[in-house]
Amino acid sequence: MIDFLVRNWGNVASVAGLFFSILAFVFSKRASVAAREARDAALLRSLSEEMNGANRTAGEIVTYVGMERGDMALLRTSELMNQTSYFMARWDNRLSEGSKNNLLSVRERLHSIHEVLTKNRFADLSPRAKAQLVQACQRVSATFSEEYGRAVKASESEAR
Amino acid sequence: MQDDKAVKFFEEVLSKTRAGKIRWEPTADESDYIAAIGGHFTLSISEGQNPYQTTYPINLPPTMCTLALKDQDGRVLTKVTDMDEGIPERDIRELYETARRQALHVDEKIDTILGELSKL
Repeated sequence: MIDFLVRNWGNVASVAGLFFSILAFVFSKRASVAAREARDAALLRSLSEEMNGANRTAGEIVTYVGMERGDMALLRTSELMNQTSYFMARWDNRLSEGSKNNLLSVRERLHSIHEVLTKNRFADLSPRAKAQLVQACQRVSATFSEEYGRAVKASESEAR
Repeated sequence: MQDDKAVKFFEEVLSKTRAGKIRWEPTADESDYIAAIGGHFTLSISEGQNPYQTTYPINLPPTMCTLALKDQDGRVLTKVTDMDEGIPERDIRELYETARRQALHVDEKIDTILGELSKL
Protein backbone atom coordinates (compact mmCIF):
# COMPACT_ATOMS: atom_id res chain seq x y z
CA MET A 1 0.00 0.00 0.00
CA ILE A 2 2.78 2.43 1.02
CA ASP A 3 4.75 1.29 -1.96
CA PHE A 4 1.73 2.05 -4.21
CA LEU A 5 1.30 5.51 -2.67
CA VAL A 6 4.97 6.33 -3.07
CA ARG A 7 4.89 5.31 -6.72
CA ASN A 8 1.54 7.02 -7.57
CA TRP A 9 1.54 9.95 -5.15
CA GLY A 10 0.97 12.39 -7.99
CA ASN A 11 -2.14 10.61 -9.28
CA VAL A 12 -3.54 10.12 -5.78
CA ALA A 13 -3.04 13.82 -5.04
CA SER A 14 -4.84 14.74 -8.30
CA VAL A 15 -7.81 12.52 -7.48
CA ALA A 16 -8.00 13.91 -3.94
CA GLY A 17 -7.75 17.45 -5.32
CA LEU A 18 -10.59 16.76 -7.77
CA PHE A 19 -12.74 15.31 -4.99
CA PHE A 20 -12.26 18.35 -2.75
CA SER A 21 -12.90 20.72 -5.66
CA ILE A 22 -16.24 18.99 -6.37
CA LEU A 23 -17.09 19.17 -2.66
CA ALA A 24 -16.24 22.88 -2.51
CA PHE A 25 -18.34 23.51 -5.65
CA VAL A 26 -21.36 21.70 -4.18
CA PHE A 27 -21.11 23.62 -0.90
CA SER A 28 -20.63 26.98 -2.59
CA LYS A 29 -23.66 26.28 -4.83
CA ARG A 30 -25.79 25.48 -1.76
CA ALA A 31 -24.54 28.61 0.01
CA SER A 32 -25.36 30.81 -2.97
CA VAL A 33 -28.88 29.29 -3.24
CA ALA A 34 -29.42 29.88 0.49
CA ALA A 35 -28.16 33.48 0.18
CA ARG A 36 -30.47 34.11 -2.80
CA GLU A 37 -33.44 32.66 -0.91
CA ALA A 38 -32.66 34.81 2.14
CA ARG A 39 -32.42 37.90 -0.09
CA ASP A 40 -35.74 37.06 -1.83
CA ALA A 41 -37.43 36.50 1.55
CA ALA A 42 -36.14 39.85 2.82
CA LEU A 43 -37.35 41.59 -0.34
CA LEU A 44 -40.80 40.01 -0.11
CA ARG A 45 -40.98 40.97 3.57
CA SER A 46 -40.18 44.52 2.58
CA LEU A 47 -42.88 44.41 -0.15
CA SER A 48 -45.46 43.17 2.35
CA GLU A 49 -44.45 45.89 4.86
CA GLU A 50 -44.84 48.56 2.19
CA MET A 51 -48.21 47.12 1.11
CA ASN A 52 -49.29 47.18 4.73
CA GLY A 53 -48.43 50.90 4.90
CA ALA A 54 -50.45 51.57 1.73
CA ASN A 55 -53.31 49.48 3.10
CA ARG A 56 -53.37 51.64 6.23
CA THR A 57 -53.38 54.86 4.19
CA ALA A 58 -56.24 53.51 2.05
CA GLY A 59 -58.17 52.73 5.24
CA GLU A 60 -57.59 56.31 6.43
CA ILE A 61 -59.05 57.66 3.17
CA VAL A 62 -62.22 55.63 3.76
CA THR A 63 -62.41 57.00 7.32
CA TYR A 64 -61.87 60.64 6.27
CA VAL A 65 -64.44 60.38 3.47
CA GLY A 66 -66.88 58.82 5.96
CA MET A 67 -66.25 61.77 8.32
CA GLU A 68 -66.70 64.15 5.36
CA ARG A 69 -63.15 65.48 5.85
CA GLY A 70 -62.46 66.17 2.18
CA ASP A 71 -59.20 68.05 2.87
CA MET A 72 -57.63 65.16 4.79
CA ALA A 73 -58.94 62.59 2.30
CA LEU A 74 -57.38 64.62 -0.52
CA LEU A 75 -54.04 64.73 1.28
CA ARG A 76 -53.98 60.97 1.83
CA THR A 77 -55.18 60.34 -1.74
CA SER A 78 -52.21 62.30 -3.16
CA GLU A 79 -49.88 60.37 -0.86
CA LEU A 80 -51.29 57.02 -1.95
CA MET A 81 -51.15 57.97 -5.65
CA ASN A 82 -47.41 58.59 -5.27
CA GLN A 83 -46.96 55.41 -3.26
CA THR A 84 -48.75 53.38 -5.94
CA SER A 85 -46.52 54.81 -8.67
CA TYR A 86 -43.52 53.91 -6.49
CA PHE A 87 -44.78 50.32 -6.12
CA MET A 88 -45.17 49.98 -9.88
CA ALA A 89 -41.59 51.11 -10.46
CA ARG A 90 -39.92 49.48 -7.44
CA TRP A 91 -41.58 46.07 -7.60
CA ASP A 92 -42.10 45.76 -11.35
CA ASN A 93 -40.28 42.43 -11.64
CA ARG A 94 -41.74 40.99 -8.41
CA LEU A 95 -45.42 41.66 -9.01
CA SER A 96 -47.64 39.30 -10.97
CA GLU A 97 -49.67 40.58 -13.92
CA GLY A 98 -52.81 40.44 -11.75
CA SER A 99 -51.19 42.58 -9.04
CA LYS A 100 -49.91 45.08 -11.61
CA ASN A 101 -53.41 45.33 -13.09
CA ASN A 102 -54.82 45.85 -9.59
CA LEU A 103 -52.30 48.63 -8.88
CA LEU A 104 -52.95 50.30 -12.24
CA SER A 105 -56.70 50.26 -11.57
CA VAL A 106 -56.13 51.59 -8.06
CA ARG A 107 -54.03 54.46 -9.37
CA GLU A 108 -56.71 55.43 -11.90
CA ARG A 109 -59.37 55.20 -9.22
CA LEU A 110 -57.28 57.39 -6.92
CA HIS A 111 -56.97 59.92 -9.77
CA SER A 112 -60.75 60.00 -10.06
CA ILE A 113 -61.12 60.41 -6.27
CA HIS A 114 -58.55 63.22 -6.35
CA GLU A 115 -60.41 64.92 -9.21
CA VAL A 116 -63.78 64.75 -7.48
CA LEU A 117 -62.32 66.12 -4.23
CA THR A 118 -60.39 68.88 -6.01
CA LYS A 119 -63.28 70.07 -8.18
CA ASN A 120 -65.89 70.17 -5.42
CA ARG A 121 -66.17 70.94 -1.74
CA PHE A 122 -67.30 67.80 0.05
CA ALA A 123 -70.46 69.46 1.35
CA ASP A 124 -71.43 70.50 -2.19
CA LEU A 125 -71.40 66.93 -3.54
CA SER A 126 -74.78 65.37 -4.31
CA PRO A 127 -75.73 62.31 -2.23
CA ARG A 128 -75.22 60.20 -5.35
CA ALA A 129 -71.74 61.61 -5.95
CA LYS A 130 -70.87 61.05 -2.28
CA ALA A 131 -72.01 57.43 -2.49
CA GLN A 132 -69.93 56.96 -5.66
CA LEU A 133 -66.90 58.49 -3.90
CA VAL A 134 -67.28 56.29 -0.81
CA GLN A 135 -67.57 53.18 -3.01
CA ALA A 136 -64.44 54.13 -4.96
CA CYS A 137 -62.49 54.66 -1.70
CA GLN A 138 -63.67 51.31 -0.35
CA ARG A 139 -62.60 49.58 -3.54
CA VAL A 140 -59.12 51.12 -3.22
CA SER A 141 -58.91 49.92 0.37
CA ALA A 142 -60.13 46.42 -0.54
CA THR A 143 -57.59 46.16 -3.36
CA PHE A 144 -54.71 47.13 -1.05
CA SER A 145 -55.92 44.61 1.55
CA GLU A 146 -55.91 41.95 -1.19
CA GLU A 147 -52.42 42.94 -2.34
CA TYR A 148 -51.13 43.04 1.24
CA GLY A 149 -52.50 39.52 1.75
CA ARG A 150 -50.82 38.33 -1.44
CA ALA A 151 -47.48 39.85 -0.41
CA VAL A 152 -47.65 38.26 3.07
CA LYS A 153 -48.53 34.89 1.54
CA ALA A 154 -45.62 35.15 -0.89
CA SER A 155 -43.14 36.08 1.88
CA GLU A 156 -44.41 33.24 4.09
CA SER A 157 -44.07 30.64 1.36
CA GLU A 158 -40.58 31.99 0.58
CA ALA A 159 -39.58 31.68 4.25
CA ARG A 160 -40.64 28.00 4.35
CA MET B 1 -57.00 62.53 -41.47
CA GLN B 2 -57.94 59.09 -40.22
CA ASP B 3 -55.54 57.50 -37.74
CA ASP B 4 -55.68 53.83 -38.79
CA LYS B 5 -53.86 52.61 -35.69
CA ALA B 6 -56.27 54.42 -33.38
CA VAL B 7 -59.26 53.08 -35.33
CA LYS B 8 -57.87 49.52 -35.12
CA PHE B 9 -57.26 49.99 -31.38
CA PHE B 10 -60.83 51.20 -30.89
CA GLU B 11 -62.30 48.30 -32.88
CA GLU B 12 -60.27 45.78 -30.88
CA VAL B 13 -61.37 47.28 -27.55
CA LEU B 14 -65.00 47.26 -28.72
CA SER B 15 -64.80 43.65 -29.89
CA LYS B 16 -63.14 42.42 -26.66
CA THR B 17 -65.63 44.38 -24.56
CA ARG B 18 -68.56 42.86 -26.48
CA ALA B 19 -67.02 39.43 -25.77
CA GLY B 20 -66.73 40.31 -22.05
CA LYS B 21 -62.94 39.86 -22.11
CA ILE B 22 -62.12 43.25 -20.57
CA ARG B 23 -62.72 43.77 -16.84
CA TRP B 24 -64.23 47.27 -16.72
CA GLU B 25 -64.46 48.88 -13.29
CA PRO B 26 -66.20 51.98 -11.95
CA THR B 27 -64.36 55.04 -10.59
CA ALA B 28 -65.33 57.88 -8.25
CA ASP B 29 -66.77 59.65 -11.31
CA GLU B 30 -69.97 57.99 -12.45
CA SER B 31 -69.31 58.75 -16.11
CA ASP B 32 -65.81 57.25 -16.15
CA TYR B 33 -64.91 53.53 -16.30
CA ILE B 34 -61.46 51.97 -16.31
CA ALA B 35 -59.74 48.67 -17.11
CA ALA B 36 -56.11 47.61 -16.63
CA ILE B 37 -54.62 45.45 -19.36
CA GLY B 38 -51.54 43.22 -19.32
CA GLY B 39 -50.05 44.89 -16.24
CA HIS B 40 -48.80 47.80 -18.36
CA PHE B 41 -51.75 49.73 -19.75
CA THR B 42 -54.97 51.33 -18.58
CA LEU B 43 -58.05 51.98 -20.65
CA SER B 44 -60.65 54.52 -19.69
CA ILE B 45 -63.97 55.25 -21.32
CA SER B 46 -65.81 58.37 -20.25
CA GLU B 47 -68.75 60.49 -21.22
CA GLY B 48 -68.49 64.25 -20.89
CA GLN B 49 -69.77 67.49 -22.30
CA ASN B 50 -69.13 67.88 -26.00
CA PRO B 51 -66.73 70.86 -26.21
CA TYR B 52 -67.52 71.34 -29.92
CA GLN B 53 -71.23 71.79 -29.31
CA THR B 54 -70.93 75.38 -28.12
CA THR B 55 -68.57 76.31 -30.97
CA TYR B 56 -70.46 74.53 -33.75
CA PRO B 57 -74.04 74.01 -32.57
CA ILE B 58 -74.95 72.09 -35.71
CA ASN B 59 -76.72 68.89 -34.75
CA LEU B 60 -73.87 67.80 -32.53
CA PRO B 61 -74.77 65.63 -29.55
CA PRO B 62 -74.51 67.41 -26.18
CA THR B 63 -72.18 64.72 -24.81
CA MET B 64 -69.08 63.06 -26.19
CA CYS B 65 -67.50 59.68 -25.37
CA THR B 66 -63.73 59.37 -25.07
CA LEU B 67 -61.66 56.20 -25.00
CA ALA B 68 -58.14 56.79 -23.66
CA LEU B 69 -55.11 54.53 -23.46
CA LYS B 70 -52.51 55.24 -20.76
CA ASP B 71 -49.13 53.61 -20.13
CA GLN B 72 -47.70 52.33 -16.86
CA ASP B 73 -46.53 55.83 -15.92
CA GLY B 74 -50.01 57.26 -16.41
CA ARG B 75 -49.14 59.05 -19.66
CA VAL B 76 -51.96 59.28 -22.20
CA LEU B 77 -50.80 57.43 -25.33
CA THR B 78 -53.87 57.97 -27.45
CA LYS B 79 -57.41 59.27 -27.21
CA VAL B 80 -60.33 58.30 -29.41
CA THR B 81 -63.61 60.24 -29.50
CA ASP B 82 -66.77 60.18 -31.60
CA MET B 83 -65.47 63.28 -33.36
CA ASP B 84 -62.56 61.31 -34.84
CA GLU B 85 -62.68 60.11 -38.41
CA GLY B 86 -63.45 56.38 -38.70
CA ILE B 87 -65.03 56.17 -35.25
CA PRO B 88 -68.82 55.84 -35.61
CA GLU B 89 -70.65 57.64 -32.82
CA ARG B 90 -73.00 54.65 -32.48
CA ASP B 91 -70.04 52.30 -31.83
CA ILE B 92 -68.26 54.42 -29.20
CA ARG B 93 -71.59 54.95 -27.40
CA GLU B 94 -72.10 51.18 -27.49
CA LEU B 95 -68.61 50.74 -25.99
CA TYR B 96 -69.41 53.22 -23.21
CA GLU B 97 -72.77 51.61 -22.46
CA THR B 98 -71.37 48.05 -22.50
CA ALA B 99 -68.43 49.05 -20.25
CA ARG B 100 -70.84 50.76 -17.86
CA ARG B 101 -73.13 47.72 -17.72
CA GLN B 102 -70.19 45.38 -17.13
CA ALA B 103 -68.56 47.62 -14.48
CA LEU B 104 -71.79 47.99 -12.52
CA HIS B 105 -72.80 44.33 -13.09
CA VAL B 106 -76.11 45.59 -14.44
CA ASP B 107 -77.09 42.32 -16.15
CA GLU B 108 -76.41 40.18 -13.06
CA LYS B 109 -78.41 42.59 -10.91
CA ILE B 110 -81.31 42.58 -13.37
CA ASP B 111 -81.23 38.74 -13.34
CA THR B 112 -81.40 38.86 -9.53
CA ILE B 113 -84.34 41.23 -9.51
CA LEU B 114 -86.09 39.13 -12.18
CA GLY B 115 -85.62 36.09 -9.93
CA GLU B 116 -87.07 38.01 -7.00
CA LEU B 117 -89.97 39.26 -9.09
CA SER B 118 -90.79 35.77 -10.29
CA LYS B 119 -91.21 34.69 -6.65
CA LEU B 120 -93.94 37.32 -6.04
